[in-house]
Amino acid sequence: MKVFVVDDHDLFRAGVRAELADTFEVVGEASDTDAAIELIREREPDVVLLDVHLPGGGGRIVVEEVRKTHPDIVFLAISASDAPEDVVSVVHAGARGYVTKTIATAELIDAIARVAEGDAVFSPRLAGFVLDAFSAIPVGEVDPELDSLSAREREVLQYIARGYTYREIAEELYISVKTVESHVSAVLRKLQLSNRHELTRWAHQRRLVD
Amino acid sequence: MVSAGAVVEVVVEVGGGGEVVVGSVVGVHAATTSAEAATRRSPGRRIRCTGGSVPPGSVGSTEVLIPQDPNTLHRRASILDRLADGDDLEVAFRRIALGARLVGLGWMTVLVVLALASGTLVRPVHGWILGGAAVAWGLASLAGARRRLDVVTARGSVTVDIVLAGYALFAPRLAGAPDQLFYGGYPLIVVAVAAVRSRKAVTAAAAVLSGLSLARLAVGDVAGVVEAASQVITYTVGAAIFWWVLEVLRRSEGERRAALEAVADARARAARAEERAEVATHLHDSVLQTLALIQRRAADAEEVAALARSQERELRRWLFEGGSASGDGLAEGLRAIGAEIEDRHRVRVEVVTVGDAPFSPTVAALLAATREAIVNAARHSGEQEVAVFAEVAEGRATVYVRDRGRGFDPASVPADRRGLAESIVGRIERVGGRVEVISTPGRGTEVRLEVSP
Repeated sequence: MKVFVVDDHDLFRAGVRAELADTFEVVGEASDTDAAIELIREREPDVVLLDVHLPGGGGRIVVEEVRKTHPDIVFLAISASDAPEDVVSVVHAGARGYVTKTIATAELIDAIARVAEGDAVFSPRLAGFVLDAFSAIPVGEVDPELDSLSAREREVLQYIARGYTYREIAEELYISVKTVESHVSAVLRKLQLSNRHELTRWAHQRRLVD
Repeated sequence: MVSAGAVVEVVVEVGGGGEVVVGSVVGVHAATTSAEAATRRSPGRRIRCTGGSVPPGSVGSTEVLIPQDPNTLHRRASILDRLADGDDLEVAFRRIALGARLVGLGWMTVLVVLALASGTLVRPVHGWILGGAAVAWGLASLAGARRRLDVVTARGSVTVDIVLAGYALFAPRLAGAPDQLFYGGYPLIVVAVAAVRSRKAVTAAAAVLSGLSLARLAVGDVAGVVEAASQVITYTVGAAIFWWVLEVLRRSEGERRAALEAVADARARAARAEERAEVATHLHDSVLQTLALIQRRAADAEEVAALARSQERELRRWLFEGGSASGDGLAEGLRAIGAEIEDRHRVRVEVVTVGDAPFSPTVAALLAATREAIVNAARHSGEQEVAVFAEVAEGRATVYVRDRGRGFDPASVPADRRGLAESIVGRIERVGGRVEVISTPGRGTEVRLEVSP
């Protein structure tokens, strides 16, 4: 499987490359948005490990641009400690998941494999961000299909935020791991199709507050 | 699950099914002390100690006397306030005594003036003397009371009253009209005023006036034995009744004061106990933890120095700037705590927050308890990762602290494991929150803390 690494931090790219080399074929790396868009289109990896914060407009631009021409390329967002609105905007643009840079190697490899298979990968932090984003959308202005989470989806996200793995959640809720995955995918779909205006407003409010 | 550090409410039960919460204290010991204090101060009513996590029977109920329910106490206090500045029963009594004396003297003066006007007095000079003395004593007493109210029932004043009443008893005879009556209600009022002064004074007044009445019988002034006897009975029984009524009022006032003092005392004790618990908890969380770390890393001089420095900084801040050094709100505070514990305990702390709550004493307690839960996970789980999730929604703040470590059986935690008992459960229960610990040996631990900030 082909993996592409986008990060403006040279040491981090080198480190990740070394970590992934045994499992995946790392087909390239880039340190800014323009180079990333160009090289990804050229090398056509299966998965792009994408830093949220990038010079030239951030990871969101890369996802939006690449997906216009290559909708099958999957993105996994990664960051150290970015603002929630930046993370959510990358996922909103189409990333299949989000992990933090403190993630252990084995978990990162597992996450890349899972997004490649079409699963959504939610780190606890992303689950928190998504809960925050959806709770900020005012009741009454919502399209229940897209702008709000079901009670079960909310519950699953809360477990993820509390540090539970999909398997542990499945045990807690007496459901199958597949069902947990489908809940998470549903959340991801809602996040990506959700009313852009409301999410923008949420992001804007966050910025004002922060 | 806890008892030593539990919050105990000391409740004073009063009549009519009402109760007064004297205060909340921490710990069975503090509750017992507080209840004992209330018992000592006001014997008779019931004091009950309750606490959510106190095992039944661990705090005894005691009989304590509080004379009336505090509402009545306050109502009576307000009547007293109107009569007496500053809620003093004796002041009220003296004002009533002065008023009664003036009424008695006025009454007597009217009788004397009527007798003088009728011209039936053979030696009217005694009428003039008695009337003049009554008016003069009334004015002097009023003037004296204006300067100092104590004068109303001073030994001299009571003596003047007795002498004047005695003279009034004999004045008609001295004036040559023994069938006249000058004294009116004055002698009985003199007995009442003496009763305000003291038991000795009221006994003396009743004895002198009764003796003079019998003397009048002896010299033939009084119509008969019946009248003399009725006067003696009036003065002696009157004295007894006045004394008794005053004693009842005085005793009940004393009890009211004792009850209010007991309440104030229990409150002060509760506040002190809570403060002590707060200090103990803080020392446990910070200083004792650091000392433990220093012992474990005694070989590394640099590390020990760094720990000592950071602890000193923290302790100074707590002592001199009052309270925890957390950030603006719950989310910021949790992030700061996570970072601090990552540094100190070399574990990864993943902090996720949804929503936020502004800083308050409740949030401070939640932060402190969360910190302790994370430290516990870092030290005892054997794992390198702790997940912290906080959600503020619908007026509740919930924090989950989870590790995938070795876990434990919550039922088998010894009572002296102060970390969980006091630092986490005590803190959260003091601010009205709830703590839930879910742990299975081999499958990690999750501590759930919930408060309403």
